[in-house]
Amino acid sequence: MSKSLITKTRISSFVIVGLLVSLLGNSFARASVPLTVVEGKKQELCPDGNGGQKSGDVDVLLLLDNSKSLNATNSPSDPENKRYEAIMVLLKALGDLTISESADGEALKLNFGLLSFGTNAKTLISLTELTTANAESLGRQVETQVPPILDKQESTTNYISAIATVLDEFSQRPNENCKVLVWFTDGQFESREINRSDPDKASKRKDQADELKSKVCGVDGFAERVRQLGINTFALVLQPTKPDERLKASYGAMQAITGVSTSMLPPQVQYGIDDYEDMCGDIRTTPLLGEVFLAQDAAEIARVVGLIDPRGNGTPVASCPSELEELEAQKMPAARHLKELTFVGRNAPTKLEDLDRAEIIDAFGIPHPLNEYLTPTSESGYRKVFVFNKKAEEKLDQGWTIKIDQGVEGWCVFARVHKFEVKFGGPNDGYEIAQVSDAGNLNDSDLQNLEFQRASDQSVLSDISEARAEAGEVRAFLSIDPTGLLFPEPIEIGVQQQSVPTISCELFSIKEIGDIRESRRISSTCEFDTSETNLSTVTASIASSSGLAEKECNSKLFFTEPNSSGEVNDDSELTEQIELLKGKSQVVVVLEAQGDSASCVSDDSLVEFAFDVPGKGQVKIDRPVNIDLLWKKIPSPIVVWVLVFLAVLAAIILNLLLLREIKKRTAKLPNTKQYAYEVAVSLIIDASGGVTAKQVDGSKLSDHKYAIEKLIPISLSDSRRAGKLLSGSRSEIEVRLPRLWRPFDPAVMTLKSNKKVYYWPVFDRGQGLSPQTRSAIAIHTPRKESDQTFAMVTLLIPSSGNKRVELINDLLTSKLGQVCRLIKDDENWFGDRDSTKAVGKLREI
Amino acid sequence: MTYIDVVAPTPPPRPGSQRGPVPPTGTSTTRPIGRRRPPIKAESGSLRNSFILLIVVTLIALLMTPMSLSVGEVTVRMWLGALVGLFGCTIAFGLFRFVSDQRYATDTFYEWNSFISRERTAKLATAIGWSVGILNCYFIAYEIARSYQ
Repeated sequence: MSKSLITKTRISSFVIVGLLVSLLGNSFARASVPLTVVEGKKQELCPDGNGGQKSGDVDVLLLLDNSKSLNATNSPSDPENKRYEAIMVLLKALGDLTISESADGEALKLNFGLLSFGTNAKTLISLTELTTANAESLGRQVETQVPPILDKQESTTNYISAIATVLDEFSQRPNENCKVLVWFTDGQFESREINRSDPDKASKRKDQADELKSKVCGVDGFAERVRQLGINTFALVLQPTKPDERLKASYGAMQAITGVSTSMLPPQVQYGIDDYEDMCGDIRTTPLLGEVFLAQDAAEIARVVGLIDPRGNGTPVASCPSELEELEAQKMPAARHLKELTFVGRNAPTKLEDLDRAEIIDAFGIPHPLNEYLTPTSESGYRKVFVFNKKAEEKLDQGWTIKIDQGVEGWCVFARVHKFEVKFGGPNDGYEIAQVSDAGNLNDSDLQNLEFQRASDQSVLSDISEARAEAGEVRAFLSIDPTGLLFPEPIEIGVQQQSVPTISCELFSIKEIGDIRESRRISSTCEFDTSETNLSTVTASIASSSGLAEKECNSKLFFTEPNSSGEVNDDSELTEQIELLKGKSQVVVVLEAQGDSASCVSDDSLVEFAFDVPGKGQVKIDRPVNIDLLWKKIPSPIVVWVLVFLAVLAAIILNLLLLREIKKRTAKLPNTKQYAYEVAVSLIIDASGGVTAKQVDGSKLSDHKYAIEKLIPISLSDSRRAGKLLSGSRSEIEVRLPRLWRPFDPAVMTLKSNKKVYYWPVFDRGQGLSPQTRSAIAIHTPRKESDQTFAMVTLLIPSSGNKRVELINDLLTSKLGQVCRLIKDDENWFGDRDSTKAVGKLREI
Repeated sequence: MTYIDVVAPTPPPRPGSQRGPVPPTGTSTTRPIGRRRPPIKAESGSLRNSFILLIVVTLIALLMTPMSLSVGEVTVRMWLGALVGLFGCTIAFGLFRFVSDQRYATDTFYEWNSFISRERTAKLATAIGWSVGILNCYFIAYEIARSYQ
């Protein structure tokens, strides 16, 4: 097993234990036990769908409403942008959960992500680790990403798009991760805007409400998928200002998704849900996966988020929120059983400063200030968490309570119990039972009052002697609340037995989806301990499921030995049976794939531990091996790269042909008629190196008289990529496409000639003219005679345009002058000349 | 009629291009010849649209690309990423070049005022699109090779 896997396993174990501790109170990590009992429904946090609890990281997605109603000019729901302060409070509170300060070690690994929604939903912050260190910066990032700017807000509030995006996001997360959705919205569902003056607005609103209902309640609808993925949803609702039919459906959707019974919804929601109550069927039959909180205004959200805790809040010690002006909690269990107290100022105007007036009233009715017995560990917004000090464990026996005199109504106070573990002592009955867990304090009375039952069938064992004598595993419980008001059920205590080894896990879990590992092995480790027992050697063997032998899976289960540092090597020896010597050891179960891939789902393989108990013969206990594995074969890199090379080569060729085709279709001569006009010229290089151009009869070019009969029509080919002057020099022009491998070079229009042709305007380094040009010069066909060179100037001019004379005059003078500057150095035109070149001048005589 | 010190106006070089008009050799001019900013003209709708199209196509190709090889099968998104990246970007870039060539030919090319020219940005976007297309090709080839081995 790799180091990272070991670390991951340890972290997972740590998180599992942390989650379970907080969720189960004092119960030892066995299975998912709900936190809060609500009208017979138990809130399930991080359910894995099999009655257990997810063991991975906690993924928290904030689904933030970004509709215009938040900052609208007319009755905005959050004009002061208090929601950002509330979100900051939420992030800090969540960040605090990532610190482990107590002996119970409840630190979580939390990932935070942000989705905003209005008309559409989008992921703005991908799930990223949240800690106390980055909580504030993430809070600022939320405000930056979803700014309170009306122009950047969207006009509708589309829950359908929002929840669909959330489901997509969560479905891509590891299955073992706990998934928490914090859904903030200021109003009601609105998939499309409806004009107030629309005569059909009532029916359109009803249509939208029905649309939401069908999406939430349909087959494989949102509510069903939320349950499948085990998403705990906390909906924070700002009271909308203009409710209509769609509000009822919105509340109905929240109820269906969270599973909250109508009586547990906030009063305004109960009233507002109307006939959309239980809109997806009887809510009593669906699991309770979240809560709906209503905030009167945005500033109140900060109070509400104080109640959001992925671990669960603990047990409320008074009505939440308290309805009296003086908070008076129930009679509390002994402080030695409790780990922490959480105070949340749920309703305005309560605030944490009011806790200065809070008192602890001991069992004798004597008041004490809070700080005498409690030490604060974290504080965020309207939430403050305390742990009990040693003095409290010694002095505060059952029956103490909390009181805030002259306080105000609206407190929520929660208590969380310790995780305890005891051992039966040494190898014989002479040893006394003792607490082994560090946190909390079980006194002699507690240890005497433990109740035991057999783990196999939950049958009650009469006393500790019977428990000690039990060959199989036993479970222990302790009643900590004689009043039965706060903790009506006894809390579970972990047990180290004399004749039963302690195994740290309930099952071996082998789960992975991805490429097959190089070693083709994946392992799962449990801690095994017989040091406090009267056992000597324990034999562990594997009973493999027949499903593992099937073709798709083709895998085997083995044991292996971790090395001295506790890691499992890929090449370590595999065995089907191991002997576990007395003391602590690790049991590593390895699944090894026999082929290049494996697709295995199995939960009926077992690891059996067999041991001889003195006087009782051989006893067996087992742990199941849950396998959910999909390993895909890794292809040969050569094959992959050959395929990539061929694909890219094909793409290049196709691209070149494609570009060639595009070029062919776009590099055509203008469809509108174009004419040529030709003038024969003579060029002479003067003494200063400049070129003098004049008409062949010696007259100035500026004196040239335009003659309409000299206009030369151009005959274009069908493809419009070639043409011919129908009179005059009868020159041919053509559009030259760039070479195939230079696809982005421009196409150029050229005039065919044996010698170099010069053009204006210059295009593509003077290689020709743009095919799209409308007026141009080409000077070509030079013929040198003594000191002068005769050439033909072909002008391309558009058929339309009023100032044709001026255009021709300009082309023959100014523009031709520019071309002549390029010609004067051409030896083919003028022959070899003195290398001393004067400043380029065109002197027209 | 006599012209003294006539300076041939060099057409604006393609932004970002090493190529450009050939300056006349052996001549002196009243202002430096070489790379200079093309004239700032009114934004052309078709040029802007073709540029935006190219950017959008590149972004689509990027968004279609899976983040890792853990998908386990060839998906429609991979095919879309490959096709849009390799061919969509090519077509969009070809269109952009055609429009900008037209602008150059009619001397109506508009360059924005930024440290990176429009054309260089377009080339960069196209290169990104191709890279993304090749990456998607790799993903597809990986899954195909896995299926048939």
